[in-house]
Amino acid sequence: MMVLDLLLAIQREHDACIGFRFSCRVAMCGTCTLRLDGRSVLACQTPVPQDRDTVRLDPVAGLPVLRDLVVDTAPFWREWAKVTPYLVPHDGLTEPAVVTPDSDERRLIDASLDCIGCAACYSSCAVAAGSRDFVGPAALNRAMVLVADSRDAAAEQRLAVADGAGGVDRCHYVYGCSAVCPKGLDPAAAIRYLRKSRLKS
Amino acid sequence: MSAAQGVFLGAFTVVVLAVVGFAAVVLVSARRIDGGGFVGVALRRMARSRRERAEAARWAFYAHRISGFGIFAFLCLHVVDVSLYAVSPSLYDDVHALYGTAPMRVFECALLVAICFHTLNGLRLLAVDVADLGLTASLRLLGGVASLTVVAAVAGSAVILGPVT
Amino acid sequence: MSGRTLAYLVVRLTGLLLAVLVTGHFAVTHIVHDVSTTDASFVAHRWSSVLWVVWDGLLLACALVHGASGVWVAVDDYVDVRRRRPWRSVLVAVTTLLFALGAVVLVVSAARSAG
Repeated sequence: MMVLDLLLAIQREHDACIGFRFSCRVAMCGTCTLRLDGRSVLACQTPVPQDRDTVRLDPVAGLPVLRDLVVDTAPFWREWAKVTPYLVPHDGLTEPAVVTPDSDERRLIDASLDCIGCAACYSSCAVAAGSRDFVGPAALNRAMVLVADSRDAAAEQRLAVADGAGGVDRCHYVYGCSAVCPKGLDPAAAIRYLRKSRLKS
Repeated sequence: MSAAQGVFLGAFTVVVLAVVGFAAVVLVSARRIDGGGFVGVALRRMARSRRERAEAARWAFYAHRISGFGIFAFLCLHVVDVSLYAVSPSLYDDVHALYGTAPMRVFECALLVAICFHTLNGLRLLAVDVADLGLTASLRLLGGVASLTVVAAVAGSAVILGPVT
Repeated sequence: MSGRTLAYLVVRLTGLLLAVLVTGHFAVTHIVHDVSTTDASFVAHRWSSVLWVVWDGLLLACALVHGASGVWVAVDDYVDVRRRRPWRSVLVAVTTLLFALGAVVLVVSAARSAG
């Protein structure tokens, strides 16, 4: 029985007013994130623990709570937008870009590409939830994916954000992000990559 | 007790209160906003799978921050009390006599724990950046940091508390 | 190189130095010698040696810079961005004053011991 099943059962049998979000039920959309006993997880893919009588469910940390388990994700997406989270192609190219599947670049990016924007990492980060000016692990992971892409022309802007007041210096090596990512991504590694990159530039 | 010693003890109390207050800020904000700070749950998690044990890294962060502030707060006081030497050596001796008392020695053991942990964990964080260490490797190092801290703290405390036990 | 990158490097560098300096300082004042023997004559003897004067001076500078940087980061984390300036000002002021005090005492005492 998944946590999402539990919530639906509560809604059916105990409290029709309980508020929570879900959509795909298969860990693809990133909508049903919540905290189970303090740990940020996707409700649809997390089994309810069998070894105790009570569990504690909290909404995601660091985002304004609208009702029950529903939060306003706008601040998360605002931080995401700060890193220019889309490919900006070079001007004046005449040939298509060639990136072979076994290249270093491809291997580095592939590992971090599948972010579903669930904010579990943001919620597990001891800092992102605090003063609200850390862009957060998801945004920095995204930044790395694009900075490492040889087709991209906006690396400087992204590195400026990573080097800025809300960037990599706000990361305190808690590793909450990598420990909790439901897709197995490693934002901590992305942040280390960005730290190295800014030393080189 | 002389006036100078009284002033020192007053200042020392302020330092201790500041450190306790700061620790409270860290832990309250942890509970409230960052998905951490649940002690019972954390202890249960440590016994489980690798991903769950990542909780240790979060507590290492709290401990690193609190120990760092503790050392800095004490440092502020310490620079002043050592500076008394330039005013007059007998004044310095008067205040420094307090450092040899049993309660202060207990404090010095706590300071030793803070210094050991903060130094070793700091070196671990440096290793993370230099050697690009991931979650598993950094947690293994953290185990080493914790063990070394305990060993150094016990050994050092034995030496410091020796004369008064 | 941006100010932030510089601060990152300074914290790591001073941290590395402090690992040696603080360990040595604590070992000498608490382990090798019992703390009750670190009286004025101990200090006089210590500061008559150039090695210890340099060691303690470096220790003072590194510890204050490293510690202040740490507190600065903590302020960034716990204080809203619009209210940070007074905290930062107090931090810088206290740190500067302590460094000035410590440096003057060290130099004056070393000169006295030498002269």
